[in-house]
Amino acid sequence: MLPNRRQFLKSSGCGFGSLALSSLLGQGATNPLSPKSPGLPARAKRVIFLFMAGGPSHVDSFDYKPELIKRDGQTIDFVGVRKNTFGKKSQRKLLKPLWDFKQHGQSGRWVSSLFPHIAKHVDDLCFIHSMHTEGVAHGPSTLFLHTGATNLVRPSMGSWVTYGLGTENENLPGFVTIMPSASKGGPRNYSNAFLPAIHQGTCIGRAGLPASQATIRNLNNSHLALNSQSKQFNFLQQLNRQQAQIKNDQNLNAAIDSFDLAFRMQMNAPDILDLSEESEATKSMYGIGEKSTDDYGRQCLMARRLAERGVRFIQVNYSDESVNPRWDQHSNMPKHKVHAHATDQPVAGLLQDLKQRGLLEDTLVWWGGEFGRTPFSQGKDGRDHNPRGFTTWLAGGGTKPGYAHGSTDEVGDTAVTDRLHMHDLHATMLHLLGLDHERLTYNYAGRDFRLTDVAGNVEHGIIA
Amino acid sequence: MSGSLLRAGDQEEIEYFETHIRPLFVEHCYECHSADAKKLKANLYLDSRAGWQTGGDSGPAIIPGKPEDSLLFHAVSHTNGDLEMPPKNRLADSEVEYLKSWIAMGAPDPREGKIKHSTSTIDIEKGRQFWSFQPVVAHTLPRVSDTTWLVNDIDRFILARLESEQIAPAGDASKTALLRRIYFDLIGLPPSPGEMKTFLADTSPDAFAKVVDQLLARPEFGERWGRHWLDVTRFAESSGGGRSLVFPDAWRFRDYVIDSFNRDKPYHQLVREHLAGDLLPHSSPAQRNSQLIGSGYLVLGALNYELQDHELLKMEFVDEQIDTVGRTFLGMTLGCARCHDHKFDPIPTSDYYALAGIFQSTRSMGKGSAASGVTSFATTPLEISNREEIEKIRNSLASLKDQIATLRSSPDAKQLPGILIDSTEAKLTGIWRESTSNKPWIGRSYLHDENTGKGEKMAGFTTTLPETKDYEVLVSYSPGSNRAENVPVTIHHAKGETTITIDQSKPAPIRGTFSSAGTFSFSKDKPATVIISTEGTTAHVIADAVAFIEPGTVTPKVSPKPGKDTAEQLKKLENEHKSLAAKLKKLQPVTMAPDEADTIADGHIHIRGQVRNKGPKVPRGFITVATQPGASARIPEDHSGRLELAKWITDPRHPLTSRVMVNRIWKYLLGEGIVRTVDNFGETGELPSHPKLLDHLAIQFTEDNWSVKSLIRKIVLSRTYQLSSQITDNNDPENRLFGRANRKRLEAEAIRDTVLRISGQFDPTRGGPTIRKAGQYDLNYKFDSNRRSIYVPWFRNSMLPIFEVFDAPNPNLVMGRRSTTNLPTQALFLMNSPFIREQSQLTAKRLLAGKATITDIYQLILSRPPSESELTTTQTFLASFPPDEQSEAWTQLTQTLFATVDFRFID
Repeated sequence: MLPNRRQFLKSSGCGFGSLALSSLLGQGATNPLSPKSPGLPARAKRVIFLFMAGGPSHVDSFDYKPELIKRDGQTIDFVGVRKNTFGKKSQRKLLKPLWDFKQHGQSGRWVSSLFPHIAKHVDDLCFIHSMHTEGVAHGPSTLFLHTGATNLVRPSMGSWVTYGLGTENENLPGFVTIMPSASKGGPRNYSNAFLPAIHQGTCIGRAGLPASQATIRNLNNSHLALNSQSKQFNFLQQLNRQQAQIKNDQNLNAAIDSFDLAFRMQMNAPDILDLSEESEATKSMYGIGEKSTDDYGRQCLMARRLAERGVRFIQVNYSDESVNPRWDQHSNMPKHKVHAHATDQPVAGLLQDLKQRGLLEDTLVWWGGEFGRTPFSQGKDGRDHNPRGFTTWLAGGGTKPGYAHGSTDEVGDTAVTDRLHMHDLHATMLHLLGLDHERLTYNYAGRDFRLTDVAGNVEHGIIA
Repeated sequence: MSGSLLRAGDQEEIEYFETHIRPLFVEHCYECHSADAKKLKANLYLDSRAGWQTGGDSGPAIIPGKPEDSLLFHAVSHTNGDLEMPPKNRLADSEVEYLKSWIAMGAPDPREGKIKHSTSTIDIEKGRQFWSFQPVVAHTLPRVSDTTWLVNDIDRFILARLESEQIAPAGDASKTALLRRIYFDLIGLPPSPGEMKTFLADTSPDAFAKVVDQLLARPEFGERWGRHWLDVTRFAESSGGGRSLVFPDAWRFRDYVIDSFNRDKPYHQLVREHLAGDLLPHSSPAQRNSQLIGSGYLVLGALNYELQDHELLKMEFVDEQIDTVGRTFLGMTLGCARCHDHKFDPIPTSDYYALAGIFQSTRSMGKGSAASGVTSFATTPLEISNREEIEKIRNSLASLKDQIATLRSSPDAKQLPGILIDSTEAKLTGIWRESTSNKPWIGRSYLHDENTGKGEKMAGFTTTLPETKDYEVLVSYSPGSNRAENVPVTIHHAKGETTITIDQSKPAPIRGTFSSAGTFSFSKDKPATVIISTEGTTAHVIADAVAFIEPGTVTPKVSPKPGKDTAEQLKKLENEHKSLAAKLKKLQPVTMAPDEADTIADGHIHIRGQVRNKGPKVPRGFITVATQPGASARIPEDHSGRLELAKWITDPRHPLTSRVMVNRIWKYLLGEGIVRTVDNFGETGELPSHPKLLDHLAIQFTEDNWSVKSLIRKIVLSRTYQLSSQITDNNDPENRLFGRANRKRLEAEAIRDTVLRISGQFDPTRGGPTIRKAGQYDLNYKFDSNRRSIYVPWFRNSMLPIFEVFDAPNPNLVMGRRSTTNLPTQALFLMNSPFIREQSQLTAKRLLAGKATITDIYQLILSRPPSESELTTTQTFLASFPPDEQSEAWTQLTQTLFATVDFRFID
């Protein structure tokens, strides 16, 4: 019988010894991934970003607006933001939330019946009801959410974070994105752009495939048994050392080291992505095994396992490959129920699991889409994009629990008090990680770039 | 604004200020707009009268007496999406009212005090002293002590430095290493074992020169060097951004670049074609086409065509062009000057907007779809010889289109027993848009009101009826969920007028498009009029057609489906249309290209880079610091200025153009540039290691009529190029002085092309369109080609995995120097990817069939025989497999050699 990976690791002595990671980039002697002290006191060590692609409706979920219910069917003046209607006034009809709201927990935060499981955790959540952002269409807004720019090519937030903090596990990438979509900017949303390549997000699976098959590309060797591969690997490294020996070139040594690291990754990473060693109780807490919640449940559980092992930035995508992303209900708002159901229990399970393992303390959980939806109807029963006001929530990582920050106007259209721009949210999250968003810069093509461009203010109001 | 208007105010006014205004300023504004601010924002002070009078970056904040003209008022009332203040909390409505009244009363303000002025001072004259802005000058050849070492002039410059630093140059490269090096450098592929044999056997002194000349003449040369140029021109076949639009004609630019390098097109000609190929004179259609394709450079950039703010989109396009042009040709980072004077290089914002005026006067985008708000890319038809044929097809297509539209419309409309008035005959008030988005309709199309101009827009249908009697009035619309539910329809009949409303969000009850408005009496002497209005509606209103019929003759029960005959005819016409359209597309090719814009004008400075925050106009022009005094070209009023820009950049006296290009060529051959930051020749770039050599090469380059091949030949025939990569002297660890050859990385394309060559799977087809079965977007494209890598579709949001893994350039950015990483993903690819495994299997099969030896496989993959220790190791490895597993053994051997450092690096 063939040895399994873990036995193999022991027998071959392939532990996590000293790795010449510094050589991975060829030039320069410092290891770009070694853990760095952030500069400011850090409240969070890592981020789990639950990306709700398409723009979930805040007025149907977390932003309770009694006026909207009262004024259901009334018309309001609305100034267009899309190309055809830019700056033009038109009248729109208010549409009340399709789900009932109730207060929950000690904090009495409002949550609609869309999210019964998340509702049980409101005392751990920090709602931001006054979000606003750039762009009106999915592409630009999604890119802005990830990179702080609607059009220009900029590094993703996860890349900035690993650039600033390094990683705590040298056998794993520092920034992973689980089942990302190829649309709406696709790879640009997890791209390092001009930052060193090592800060690029590593994909685990991709949108549209079952989460049970999600893995890192080329991580597994499907054509050779482990002992054959090990023999071939030793042969390769023997030849490599013979070739490099006389040349005395650190670039060659770095290439050889990268094979050692890759082989270690191949031995270790599959175990981390393998959920079979989790208990049935844990799996069912995430909704794994139930058809509708299996995918996102697996993604969330994978996120926890990666977080435990020191991965710095973990994005858990709820997205697909269509032109209208999942939460994009321009018509048929009742379909929100499907998406809420698919994510509610997995997200609640993640929160509970992180909490009981003491991980919520220093893990910043971020839930949100690229924008919200309008309080007025589009067509009969849809809602349009709304970048002017929407809700995002954070949990753990030094945020105020059971708290609600800012507000939209009385019907939920525009953020009016304690407005928080996406740049501000980025700045605040970096702050929680101990990074000063004005000093986390990278010099490229003659100038210093940062995630927040020339804007962004840290919102101390949401920090515990 | 006259200063006399400003005043401290009388007692009553001051009281108003102190009660309502000062506290408001203190509470909401001082944090960022006062002398005490931790960080002053936008250079605006609101803590003194002079502060708002002078204003910040955007000019005066308040115009006394005119709230509507005052920036501050707009900012606090949130009427302008770009400027909303205070940033976090909107002021209370009452506070906004106080401000309005105060400004209206003349903004009396008792606060005295002066403000500091921070004005920019860029000293252009001082800037010209920087090395890269200095004119290129000929230098006398340096003296060296060991003249026997020299092969050509290049070696003098290199050896002189080495001697002065007391560093000994490495020995010459071995003939095997040299041949592998020159093959990859010039054509991106390894020599075949036969070619190696011939070279080793040729002992004549010009053996190497002969190889160089052969390689320069091979078509693979253009494929290799064209790929370098595609990196620098950030070429891609899709737009990137949210919806990454496929550019189906971008391959023409790729083929044009390959062809240009193969023909050794003078570099200054290439640059001119890139910047103004659509404007250059030409003597044949072929020349016209080639130049036009070359200008595609300007419109191939990464852009989010989905951005809905069109003004912003246009400016982002211009920014992309300026930034790219700056880096490609000048090694300048001009993008910095978009928002403020360049902090490091002597480039004032006014220079940036002088260039912006040129590109703003250029049409760089197509029209796109009004419905989705997604703009399209710019194309221009290529010159063709068969104009008449095309004209004929066009006419047939137009007529087919009409016939189809009529048939597709409510199919039985013609058989309506009455009088029909289509929207084409309607009298319109306000702007109505023609559409065929929602079926069905009558006639060619229907009209909608764009859901704007409510109450102003109307569509009137008038006719004179043949008899005086009762008619039933039918109103046609194409139903849809975004239609208005209460569209007012007014019927002017014999007895006056009647207004009813119809619900256009519901399906039309009669024949799929008609709704009855009721029966009315009409007189044949008085025009019958039906007016569809938009008054009071909140969704789209449709105006399609109106019919007057014999009352009750048409009932809702009649099926709206077309009859069988109609359906068949429709299908026939549609097929005909499809095949003709395809034919036309083939006959009438287009290429991506810019054009002069309809309006040619100087542009405004955009303060802080914000599109709607306009400062003074600046005349179109170039970069002042790189222009020799007196050499500035004037841009005629009716020219965008691209032609003049092209001339300015390709002036042989331009200090940057020739230096930047010769440095690029040097970098591709020697592994590092003389200026290592090949895309940045500014303050923040690196200084040249051999400034005199750089100038020497630049002068030779321009004197040789900007011939790229001549320059390459000169460099590779130098002794410097032919040195060994073995480190013999530790005094120059980074090899800044080129005392040895830099060991270079095999790029992604070279790895793939070589593997396919060796496995026998290489498809040698050259040129032409290569994107197969792509949709509108590059999403999830299925790559299935074994052609040379330069012919594999090159998308911004979806790339062949091997390219991604092995540091192919990010096609969103100008990249004269690719990154060279050793990430574990590369190792995983070489160890585990199905691609490498499959190609290794095929290679092993070929080798075993040919009874190859271990030496043969080393020759084939590494272009050299195995060393003794390699031979032993390999024999041991092969021997560990049982005799019936030789094919697996050789597969693993092949794969292992592909993964060795000697394959992945060029000595």
